[in-house]
Amino acid sequence: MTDIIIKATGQTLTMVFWSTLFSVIIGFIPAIVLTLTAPDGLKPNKIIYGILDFLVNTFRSFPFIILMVIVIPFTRLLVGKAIGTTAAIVPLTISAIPFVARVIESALRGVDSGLIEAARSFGASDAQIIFRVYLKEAVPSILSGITLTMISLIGYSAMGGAIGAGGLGDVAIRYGYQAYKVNYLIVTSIILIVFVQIIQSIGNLLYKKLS
Amino acid sequence: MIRIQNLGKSFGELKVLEDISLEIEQGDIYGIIGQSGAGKSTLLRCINGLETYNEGSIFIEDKEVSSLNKKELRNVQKGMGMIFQNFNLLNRLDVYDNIALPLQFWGQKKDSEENRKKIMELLALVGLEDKVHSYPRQLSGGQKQRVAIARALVLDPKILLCDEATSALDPQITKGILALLSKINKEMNITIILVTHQMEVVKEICNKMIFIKDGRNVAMGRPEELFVSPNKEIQQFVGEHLDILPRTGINIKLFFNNENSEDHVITQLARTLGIDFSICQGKLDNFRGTILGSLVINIKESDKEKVTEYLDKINVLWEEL
Repeated sequence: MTDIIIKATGQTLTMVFWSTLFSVIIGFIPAIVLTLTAPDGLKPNKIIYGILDFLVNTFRSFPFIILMVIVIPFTRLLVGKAIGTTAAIVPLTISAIPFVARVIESALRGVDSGLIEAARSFGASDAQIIFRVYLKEAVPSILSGITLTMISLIGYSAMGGAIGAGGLGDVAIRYGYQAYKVNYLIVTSIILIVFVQIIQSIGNLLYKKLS
Repeated sequence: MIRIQNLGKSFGELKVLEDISLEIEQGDIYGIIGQSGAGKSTLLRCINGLETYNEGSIFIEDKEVSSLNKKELRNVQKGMGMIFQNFNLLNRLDVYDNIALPLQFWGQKKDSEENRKKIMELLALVGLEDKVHSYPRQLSGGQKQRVAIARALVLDPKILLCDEATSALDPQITKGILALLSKINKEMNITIILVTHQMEVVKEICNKMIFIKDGRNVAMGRPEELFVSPNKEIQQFVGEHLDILPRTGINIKLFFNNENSEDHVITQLARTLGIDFSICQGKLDNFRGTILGSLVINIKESDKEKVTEYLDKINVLWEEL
């Protein structure tokens, strides 16, 4: 049992870590575009904002299990295979991008508009306002958004078992639920709870420290 | 230095500024006063290009603001510092970095020897040398505004724009900030344009003012003139009511200027002419150290000639209400 659990823990961590990292990096771009083109943004643009807003909503409404199947050709193109832990990172990342985009957008738009105005009054360029004001001030809220993303990715990664990705959720379903081995169910649940608690605590600590 | 001609601005159907013309000279402390929503903050933002306008023109030393391209506008903005009602400091930067931020917008290193010296001098000017590495949340409102003033001065502007800079502060702190602005105006020869709804602010430091109501200029001139002999609009704004004066006899309003306000005009008037009258209304105001005021007395119809003759003789301005 120990071997199975350790291996599964490693798989979960791998999936969550990489998909968080990639989704945050990629999600930043639509988040910034949404912030800039929003009606109260620096460069209001109804069309761009409208399209991006629609796309983000659409992708967020996809059930993860369906998304995972739909993106199989893309996954194969990217990592050369459609099953396994590495392959699961692709749909996990894709599902988290719109989430990250929203979370970062709301963090950026939460920055006091007075600060933007002050920066403009000193002749700051748009790029300077994004990097020196928006991103600088929003760091704590962006971090708590990333915490939220990681935790929901832990949940999604449980479904990775469907494409042979393994992970704690997969063990819980196969051994605990389908084979009636209650001890597996309990151990995996406890590990997942501990993970979520640790991530949330670190997130809270960083938020406090940085704000 | 700044010339505004027939300025007009509207948001869709709503006219927020209409036919505003004014001139601000080097060294002025110019007050733009009016109620909330009168358009005064919009006017201020038109001056440094944060807002655009539809009609008229604004000249900053012969450059018309709306005709500038992005780069030229940035340069004009560099020459104008701005402070705000809510201070608008970055919470995640300490005092030093907040003041250095405009320098960084202009590609300068915040830690260069020259900039370090400049920032420390500014901190000394605003009296916060000991707060260099404090964060805004550790400062009081007055201290935050002082930091904001230092930040507004770091690019060596010729003009300082103040948008309700004292409205979030209590009266004692306000006095300190106004004294600082006055000092900056005198010692650094920085022209100050100040938007406020607080009369006391205008009286205390402005040498010129415009009173804006519903986007229109309703009075303009020196504060001591406008407040001592106010027109209807200003009377309404300051809450002066003529209808509480007696309906019998004649009401005469006397204006006091610097020379006679400390003499005993009223008692002398009574003693010299040997008449009785009642004092109905009066106030004294301190305009940048100059005491000015007005007093309304109610006299008998029959005394009118004697009283007005006497007032003319001792050079006291008066008007019949």
